[in-house]
Amino acid sequence: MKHHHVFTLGAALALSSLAAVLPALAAPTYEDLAARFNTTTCALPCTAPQSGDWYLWRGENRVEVRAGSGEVGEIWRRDGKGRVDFVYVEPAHKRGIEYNASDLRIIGHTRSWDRLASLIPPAELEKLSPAGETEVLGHKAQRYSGKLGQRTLEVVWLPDLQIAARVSVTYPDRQVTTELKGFLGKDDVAATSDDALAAYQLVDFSDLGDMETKPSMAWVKEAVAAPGHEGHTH
Amino acid sequence: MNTRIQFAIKPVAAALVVAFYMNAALAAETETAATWYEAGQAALKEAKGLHPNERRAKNVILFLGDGMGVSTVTASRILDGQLQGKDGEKNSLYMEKLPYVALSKTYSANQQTSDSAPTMTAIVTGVKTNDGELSVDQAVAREERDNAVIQAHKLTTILELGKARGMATGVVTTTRATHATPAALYAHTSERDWEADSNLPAGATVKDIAAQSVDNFAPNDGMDVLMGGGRTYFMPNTQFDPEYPATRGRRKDGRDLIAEWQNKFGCAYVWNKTQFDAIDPANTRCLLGLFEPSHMHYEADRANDAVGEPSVAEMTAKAIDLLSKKAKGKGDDKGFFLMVEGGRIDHAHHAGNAYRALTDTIAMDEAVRVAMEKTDPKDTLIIVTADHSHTFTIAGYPKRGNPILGKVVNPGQTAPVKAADGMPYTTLSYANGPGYHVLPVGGDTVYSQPIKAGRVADMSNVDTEDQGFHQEALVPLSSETHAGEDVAIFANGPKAHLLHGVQEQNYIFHVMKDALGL
Repeated sequence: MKHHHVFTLGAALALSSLAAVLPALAAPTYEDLAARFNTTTCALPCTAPQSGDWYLWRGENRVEVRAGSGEVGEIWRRDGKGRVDFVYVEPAHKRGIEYNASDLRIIGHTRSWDRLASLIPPAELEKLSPAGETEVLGHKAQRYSGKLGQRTLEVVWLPDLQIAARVSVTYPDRQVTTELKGFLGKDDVAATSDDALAAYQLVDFSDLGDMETKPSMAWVKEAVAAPGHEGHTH
Repeated sequence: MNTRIQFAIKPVAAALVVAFYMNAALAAETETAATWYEAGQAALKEAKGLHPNERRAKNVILFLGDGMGVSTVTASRILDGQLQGKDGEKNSLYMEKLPYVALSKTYSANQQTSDSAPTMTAIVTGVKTNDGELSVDQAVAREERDNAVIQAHKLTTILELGKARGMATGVVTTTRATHATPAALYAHTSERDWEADSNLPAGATVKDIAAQSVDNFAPNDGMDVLMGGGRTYFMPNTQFDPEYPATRGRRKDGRDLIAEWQNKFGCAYVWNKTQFDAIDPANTRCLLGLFEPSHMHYEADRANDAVGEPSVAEMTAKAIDLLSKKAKGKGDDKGFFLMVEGGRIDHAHHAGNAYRALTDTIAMDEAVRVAMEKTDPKDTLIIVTADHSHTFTIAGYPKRGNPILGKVVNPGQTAPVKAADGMPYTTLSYANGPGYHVLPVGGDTVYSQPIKAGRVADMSNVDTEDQGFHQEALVPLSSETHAGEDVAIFANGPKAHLLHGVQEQNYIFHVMKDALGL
């Protein structure tokens, strides 16, 4: 039953990949943020929506997302030179798959940092039209709407946090809506610390091809949410 | 960067395309029955001029293209030529200029199609063993934890034999220095994945591979060169990587093996290109180079490394210079043994990405060129082989000069030929693996790419020569697999003529040992 989690997290991240990379504006700074989101996807006409919660922890150089079940997640890290690496994690089992920049390039699993950190890049936001102001969880918010290609977007943007509180994208065949549900406090579920990650069983993406027949690595075959190495249990 | 590959990692300029087609056309125009016949006669004359070199080898250089099956060599030869605007089919890689060739049977003691651990064990110990095991015999069960069992069944490697005679020794790879192929030369273990102590299961007394690179050698008498990736396997998990500050060492035992290499053996240590370039072999006792936390970059991506990495050819040149100096420094020149691995050919194939598999093969071939230029075939045996093949194939019937990474265009045609399903197909494909998907770099990609085996899309408007293209695969597997057919052995130098016919893979060790008089 991993599909639900994969779907939910996948849909959330797909939102962060809405369009081709645009010319970079002044680089935004991303304050620390921990929040719970919900994503709903529905084929049109919508009769059976699917939804799920997921978490996001954002730092200046680190973005972690985790399915609400806690089963799977992604950790994106960048260094001072702008290089990005990625770890697919299964927190409950304390294991994961590491991808360096070359791995990400070879499987095409690359993301702009702005998309990861704000769900919709500010540069893309500028292509939409302002549609009034509102308030979300005590933060001033700006509504935007517009059409980009075949997609119709409605966005609620939190300027002070540089993140979308709501993104609704209507494609010709489906609608995907992500909403901020709340901020996480110190007693809520926490991000994966560097110390915790160091204790994980981590394998290198490049080595997976040599590991598939090892019984102790059977979990890798089941890691259907791991990019570039999707199992075929579905 | 290797100029042969520079072309490959940039969009091919229109001028280059024009030059390529002009050259291909000119080649076809100048070929006649007479030119083919004369070329055959010239090759015959050259073959008749070959004389077995029965001398004892002073040096042995073993090149190992991981996963470099015959189809990979052929496709790389064509791509190499085409990237230079030459006749790709007629082109020869440097490894193919070595005059003696044999085939190697790559099955292991318990596998019809094998992995890199038993195959490299066969090549460097003369004995075949089981899957996943490094330089121990087949009586050892995989993941055997008892070091006493390992010690009782360990096999002496060609590197260890060379060291025992006082030869200088070196290992160069583009994978982690602790990966199966390099590790088979200096470590003995029942599990190739036990590269750091954190990989060992509870209760294991066998040492991890990185530790064995230190512990298996006496003070001031370690390997003279060890270069590759895998830095974090040598670092305690309390240390952060110098190049990637978010990455920690993988060792839980607190050992700093990099410091131990420096202290125990007196070796210089480098982790970036600037430091590497500054190493003067004349003033360097021995050298540890660990250029990435894990594997080094593919050749196609190497230029993206912020602090720079040497190419496999550059590492080979440095290693030969250092080992030659070291061997001569021991009074009577006792020679050297060097293993060089193009280790990421295999990884690119596993990912179903022929582009990187071929460009990494060409990069290793550049290292072969360097070795040929820096050594004398009178006293140096050079062997180039692979541990196993991949399910990688070259289909029919593209016309002469058709881009090897392109779609099949029949002779006399300009448009791709259509298969029975009405869609074009590429010359290169895999029998299994993740299969076809177009993965635009930096663009929209779905989170979870499903496996797309078989004929899933019309590639009429797809650039199949792009670095991100993944060739089609018939059987859906999450990772493309090794293949079981024989691989080639190319050789020149003393006793190279003994590499002939179809041989068991472990025979290679016996030729090297005999050539060195060990």
